[in-house]
Amino acid sequence: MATSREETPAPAKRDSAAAGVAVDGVSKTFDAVPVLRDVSLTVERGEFLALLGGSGCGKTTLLRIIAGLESADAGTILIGGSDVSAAPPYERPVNMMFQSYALFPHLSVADNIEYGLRATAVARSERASRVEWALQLMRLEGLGRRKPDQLSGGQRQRVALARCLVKRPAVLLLDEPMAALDRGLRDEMQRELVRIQRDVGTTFVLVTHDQDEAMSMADRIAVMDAGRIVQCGPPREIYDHPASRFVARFVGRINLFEGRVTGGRDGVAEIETEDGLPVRVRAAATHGAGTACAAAVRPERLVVSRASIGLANEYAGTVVDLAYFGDVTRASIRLAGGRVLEAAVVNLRGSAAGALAAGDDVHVGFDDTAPLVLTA
Amino acid sequence: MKTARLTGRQRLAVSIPLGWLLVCVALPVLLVLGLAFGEVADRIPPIEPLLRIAAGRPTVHLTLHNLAAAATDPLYASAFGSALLNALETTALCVLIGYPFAYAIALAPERQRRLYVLLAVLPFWTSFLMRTYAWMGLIRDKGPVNHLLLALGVVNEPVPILYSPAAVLLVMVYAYVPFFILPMYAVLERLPRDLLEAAADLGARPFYAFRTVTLPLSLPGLLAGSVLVFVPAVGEYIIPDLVGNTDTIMIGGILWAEFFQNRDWPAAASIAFLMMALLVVPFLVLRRLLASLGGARPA
Repeated sequence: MATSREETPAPAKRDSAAAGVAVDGVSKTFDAVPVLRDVSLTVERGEFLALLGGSGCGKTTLLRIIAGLESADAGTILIGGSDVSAAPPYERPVNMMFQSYALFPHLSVADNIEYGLRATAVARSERASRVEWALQLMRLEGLGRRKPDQLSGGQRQRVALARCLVKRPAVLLLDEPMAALDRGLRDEMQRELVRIQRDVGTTFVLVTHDQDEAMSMADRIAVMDAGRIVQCGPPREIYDHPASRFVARFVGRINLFEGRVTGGRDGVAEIETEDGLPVRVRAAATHGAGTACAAAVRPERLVVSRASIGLANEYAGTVVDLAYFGDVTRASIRLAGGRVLEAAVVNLRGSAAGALAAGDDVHVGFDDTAPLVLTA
Repeated sequence: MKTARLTGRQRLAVSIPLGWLLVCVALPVLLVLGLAFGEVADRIPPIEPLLRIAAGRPTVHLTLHNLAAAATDPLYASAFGSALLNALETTALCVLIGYPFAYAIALAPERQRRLYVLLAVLPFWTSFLMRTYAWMGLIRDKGPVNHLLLALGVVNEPVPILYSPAAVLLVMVYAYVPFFILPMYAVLERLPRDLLEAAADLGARPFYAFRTVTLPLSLPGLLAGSVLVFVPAVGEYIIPDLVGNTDTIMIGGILWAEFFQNRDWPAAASIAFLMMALLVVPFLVLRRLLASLGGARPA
């Protein structure tokens, strides 16, 4: 997406005292079911971090524990260097944007935004100027007197965001903020959120199950699974170097060749898959023969052609399905042994994808630098 | 709905409740109104017919005398005043007791809520009269309440509770509080929890959050419950009659006496009609208030 942020690398220093948020050894159990297992995480001041995971992975619980809406069974939460583990939500310098937005239905837009300032007894004159600032920042001028039910979904979301930002929190927590928006609005708001985060410089922690959202907005992504953070790093690192099969499958699409290392020479390892397919992988020599592993190849690294291609890994197959997405066509290709590979073919003018049809016999292949070897 | 045309089936569906309201509400009200304009007679029923044949011509006999008398009688006025005061006190106490009660049920774990609601309406399973007699037994001079007070050393001799305005209030609140708790609970239970979480997150301490979020959003339930208690409480005559004294003669009792003891149906009907008029007006005001609180949403 257009808002990729990899050009602004996160500070290298990981000093928990200066950090925006430092989560250390947090565990949580609901009705004897562990939801978080010894989670530790550091979010830099001014960083935009995404907690990415499927439903039930514990990402929302972690966010609620940071906000103080849920208490951890074990572990500590530091915000701006001070321990807030025992502090109630109304004493923490964080604000949360709820998935439902949780706007007060009986208050006008301006009163909703002002609520947090009144609750903490900010002087009247300052309240007025800060509400004005928030209305402008979120482009809500002229809507101040409306009630939440007179707003569109996008406007409601902006009010929810303004209500948080007006408090000038040390950390802004966002729980699936785009879930209730339709797609066009979602893209627009994603860009808007990134712009606002840059402008105000607040630390953002975003919870999402949408990998595109996490990839396009966040400086770093923490991928969660079954109550643990399984990988944490910049979007490109997560995508190009997934630490495990789970991350590889969860972030983007991938073809997995499960098998064992059978040998190798000249820095090229040979892996034989369970169905007897040979896969040659460069720079995988560190794995000894017999190691169980998976060679993982992203669909866009696959080349599809009617003629022989001459790549290190090349197989004959039949096109079984074509899904046209406009920018790319996703082709499902069945190999002789029954394995189905997914290839993403970019739809350039006059490209091969246009000529492909279901039932075509094709060659599909990839270079020996394309696969990753995953052992976890 | 102005432009919508009803189909035959819809018309049937609408006509059933409409017919019910017509027969069971509109007709009795019209009968009472008719009685209020009639004259007493020494016969059964004890009223002159409104439509009489005089000199071969049907004539309608209506008199404003009863309504005028009912409206100006100082005894009625004071009885109505004390009934209003009693109903107001009952309602206020029902709010003070019922709100925390309903709030506690709404905050209880989901599985326990049904049990608590059941307990709140459990008294309805026994006859209302039985429960009132039970209270009379409890609060009489030699009853358990006085025994307890004596045993605890709170008092040195039995306090006369029964046959006092306090007894009326006590039993009224006891009888009416479930009518407040139920609508109050229904509203509090549906109050979105994330609103309170948002309030806390924005820096509101629990009491501030209650005052600025819970209370205003639960006002519809509070008003509905208050109306459900207040309106029947004004006309209540059994409780003041059984546990009250002569200081607690209320309009409901007078209505009963005019109807059954004095057999003055027109007077009773006039009182009933005036009472209804005096109650409907504040009720409409409350409804208007409720609608304006709900903002643009339908109430």
